[in-house]
Parts: sequence; structure tokens; C-alpha cells
Amino acid sequence: MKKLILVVLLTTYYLLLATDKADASSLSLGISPPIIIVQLDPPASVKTPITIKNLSDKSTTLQIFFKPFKAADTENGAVQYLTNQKGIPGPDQKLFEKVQIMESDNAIDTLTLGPKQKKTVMLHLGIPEDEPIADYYFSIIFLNKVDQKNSINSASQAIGGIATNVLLTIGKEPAQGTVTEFSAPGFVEHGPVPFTVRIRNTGKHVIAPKGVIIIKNMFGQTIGKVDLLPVNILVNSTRAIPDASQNPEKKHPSTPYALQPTTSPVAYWSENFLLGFYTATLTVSLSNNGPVYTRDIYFGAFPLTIIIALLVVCFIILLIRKKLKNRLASSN
Amino acid sequence: MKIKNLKLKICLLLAIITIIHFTSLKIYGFTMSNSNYILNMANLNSGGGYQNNSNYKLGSTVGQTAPGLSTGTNYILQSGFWYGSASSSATILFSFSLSSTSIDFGTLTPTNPITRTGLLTVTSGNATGYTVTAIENHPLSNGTTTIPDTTCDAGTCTQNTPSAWTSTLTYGFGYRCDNITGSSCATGLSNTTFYQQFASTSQNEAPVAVMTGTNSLPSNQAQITYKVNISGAQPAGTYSNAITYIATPTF
Repeated sequence: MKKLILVVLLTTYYLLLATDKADASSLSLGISPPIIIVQLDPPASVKTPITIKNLSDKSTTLQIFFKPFKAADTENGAVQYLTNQKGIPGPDQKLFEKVQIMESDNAIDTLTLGPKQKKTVMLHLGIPEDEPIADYYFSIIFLNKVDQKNSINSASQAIGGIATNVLLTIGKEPAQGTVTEFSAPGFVEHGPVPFTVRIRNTGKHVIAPKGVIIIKNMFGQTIGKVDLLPVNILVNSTRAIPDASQNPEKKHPSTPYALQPTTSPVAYWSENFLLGFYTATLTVSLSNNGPVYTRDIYFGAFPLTIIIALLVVCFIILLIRKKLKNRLASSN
Repeated sequence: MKIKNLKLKICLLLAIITIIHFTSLKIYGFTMSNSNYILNMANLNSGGGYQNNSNYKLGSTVGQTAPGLSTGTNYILQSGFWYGSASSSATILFSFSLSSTSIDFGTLTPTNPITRTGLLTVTSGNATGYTVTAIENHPLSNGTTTIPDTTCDAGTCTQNTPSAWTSTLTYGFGYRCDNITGSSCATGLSNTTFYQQFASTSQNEAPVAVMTGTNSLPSNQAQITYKVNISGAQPAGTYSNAITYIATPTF
């Protein structure tokens, strides 16, 4: 009897392991790179690879198309697609006719990937000599092509797509912009200290400002620094700049991610214990050739909670001492 | 003022030692740089005080190129982010997954709301963040009649504004988003009874972000709950539509 039970259990266990789970149709795609930044002087012909991978166990056919975008109001690098837009805004609304996705030197608008298959296609930009100076921003979207199924039940079909962003700069104009905000709380009890740095691009081309915040104490000595992440700022948009420790490749970032809002990033100085008055100096260059801007702000720090805790401890010690003294006096 | 009390002296001494320890003067003489720039600061002399002869130079490091940077005739091309490493531009994928491409509501019966769920998963790779937008081609339709997008119990929810939907006498089609890992769903949907409409191409609406996240976690996952409820007056038939989700990295 025991043997029978053991056999049943083992068989059940084996069946549970061996049975393939019913595979609800799914989609999984990966793409690299997530962004392509091109600066060119016409005429120019540019080719660059894009890798797209089917991460699922089912074949998929992808439609390829271009969609223009602008910077979203969240100031964190999110895109906002332009709806009801024919072509792309700018002096050349037919720019997409000069952009192709190529596979084996053939322009394509669909791509089929087998299970777990990876393919590399080429983005080709062919810009003629008379192209006017301007910036163009668009996503290259790879969208799962789904055949219409006649279902006997009411149903919604979920179509998935993945995108990579292209920032195209035609021509060369000097970088222009302003530091619209550099601020921190006027008073903090402890770190990390959040600095808000917002820069507006008023020029004609995308910029990736490089900057640093130097913190000095009330004695004028430099005690900290915060490197800013060189993020892209589109024309006629403002972006909030995070600190460089939020580089996604850093394995052990010091930034308290739990504090990082999904909108409007901030740059953190991670020093925890602070006491006194501080000066923070922002130095930022909009490009390799400037312009360079500096700003100063001041803030104070006082570990109120710690001081209060210490005072309470001292008070309790004194109270205990006094009571002991009184008790000794009364017993004598 | 003389402090005669021994215990008080000890407390104050401890406090002073603590404060001095944590506010020890730190002097930095350093050069900050990454592969794209050098920012040179003055070397500071702790004995002689701060020397105000800082020399700033911001620009590309001579002799180095940024990772993923290439040049050609009349162009400069950066593949990946300025702050990425040489390996990341080529190998770290930005990825997006849908757990199911078909949401089957079965046979719809009046005043009997049906809910179905699906998972969206994003790995942001070396992007600082991402957005997943959603838009339906049209409301659920059998070709001649539609099930309208829900306006929720109070008649106030739209594609941008969620609201409570609990009544079995409130009809329509909508969705809600719940965080599984990370916190990428819109904060307006934190109330578990709230739903909202999908943006609709047929009404010339712009896609709406259903997930917005940073790269704070290796991957973020959210559950989309689809809900449909019909009235007794809804004509019989098979109703369907298509919902397009697009995952876009931040720029």
C-alpha cells in the first residue's frame, strides 16, 4: 500500500514538472540602442545599426513606422507623440522620405523574427545638400502586426510595440539656453539634499549640458560635489537634471531612489549629517564650446531631531540623579 | 559659567564630541571628469585656507571619444546615451512584454461586469526611464453597435481622469492599472475601485501613458485590469476592438 501511494505521488510530481503550461499568446521585444543622436552637415549619408530581438517563444512580424514627438511637460525626458500630425514638424515636413530602415540593403517596413531571434537592421539617413538647418525628433516604432481574428466571444486584442528615439540635428548653430531654476530647501535637518536644476533650451539644436554642483560649508571649504547627468534637452523645452549617480549603469548608486519622483527629477547630494550654513554653486556648460553659467544658492542644516534626543537623554540622566540623591538624603 | 554638575559635563562633552566627529572639515582637491568632459578645480590647501584661483575647463577629453560615438563625412553619431559605457550601447536591451495579446471577455450578459487582467513588463536598460502609452482603435464594436467607453459611476471618468466604478448598473468599457513591481502606474489609480477609459483613435485622442517609470528597478511590472459591463438594451453580438501599447524609452 505504501509503495502504491509512493508511486502515485511520484507520478503526480513528474506530471506536474513535465507538463508544459498552456501558453497564452504573449509578446516580448527588446531593442538597442534606446536612442540615436545624429548631428550632420548636409549633404550627408548616415547608417547606424538597430538591434531588435524577439524575446518570446513565438514568431512575430513587426510593422515599422516613424512617429514624431516633442518633450513631455514632465521635464524628465518622456516623449509626447504628436497626434494628427502629417509628416514631421519643421521646415522639411517630408523628412521621413529621406529616412529608411534597411535590411540587407533593402528598405523595409516590416520585419519578421522567429522565436528568440535577434536581427540587426540599419537606420539610413540620406540628407541632401539643400536641407535647411533644423532639428527633428522622432521614434522608430516596431509594432507587432496582428491578424484580425474572428472570435466567437467578445474580446479585445492587445497589440504591443517598442520604440527607439532619434534626435536629428541638421546644421550647426551655437548652443543657447538658460538656467531656469537652481534651488534647494532653505533648511534641512539632514541629507540627502535635493537640488532642483532646470535648464531651458532656447537654441536651434538639442543640447546635453554638462555640469556640477559644488557645496561649501560656512567656513568656505569645499565639502561636497554633485556631478550632473548630461541628459538631452530638446529645442524649446525645459528639462530637470538628475545627478550622475542616477546613471542606470551604476551598480550601487548612492541616490535614494525611493525619493526620486517619476516626474521632474532632482539631483541629490547624498551627505547625511549636516550642521550649519552651506553654499551650493552650480556650474553648467551647455556645450563643449559653452556658454557656461554659474549660480549660487544658500541653505542651512540643523539636526533638530538629534539635538532634541540628546537633550532628552541628558534631562533623564539629571532627573534620575536628582531622585537618587533625594532618596539617599531621606534615608540618611 | 562654571559647570559643577559632573553628569551635565559628561553629557555636554559627549554632544560636543559627536558634533565635531560628524562635522569634520573635509577638504577636496579634485578633478571631476567622465569620458566626455574634464572639470578642473583648484587644489585646496588646508593649512593656508581656500585658494581662489580655480581654473575651469569644460569640454571633451582630448584623445577620447564617448562610448557609442562615431564620426563620418559631415556627421557625428551617438548610438546610446552620452553617459553610457562602451558595452552598454550595444548589448543592454530596452525591453517590453505583454503577457497576453488576446483579452477574451467570453459571452457578455447584462449587469454582469466582466474583468480580465494582463501584465505589462518593462526593462529600461540604460535609459533613465520609459513610458508605455495605450490607445484603442475604437470602442468595443460588433460592426454596427458599440459598447461605449465607461464614464464610471459619477459620469466623470475620461481617458485622463479615473473615477470609481463599482455599480453593476454602470455600463461601458474601461481599465485600471495596478503596480506589481515598482510604482509606474498613474497615481490617480491608487484607489482600487477607480477605472478610466482608453484613449481612442476614432475620437482623435492622443495615446495616454499607462506606465511611467524610472530605472530604479531592473524591471517594472504592472497589471492592467479590463472591465466591461453591458445593459439589457445592448444588442446581441460579438464585440471587439484593439488596444495598442507602445513602450518608449526617455530621451
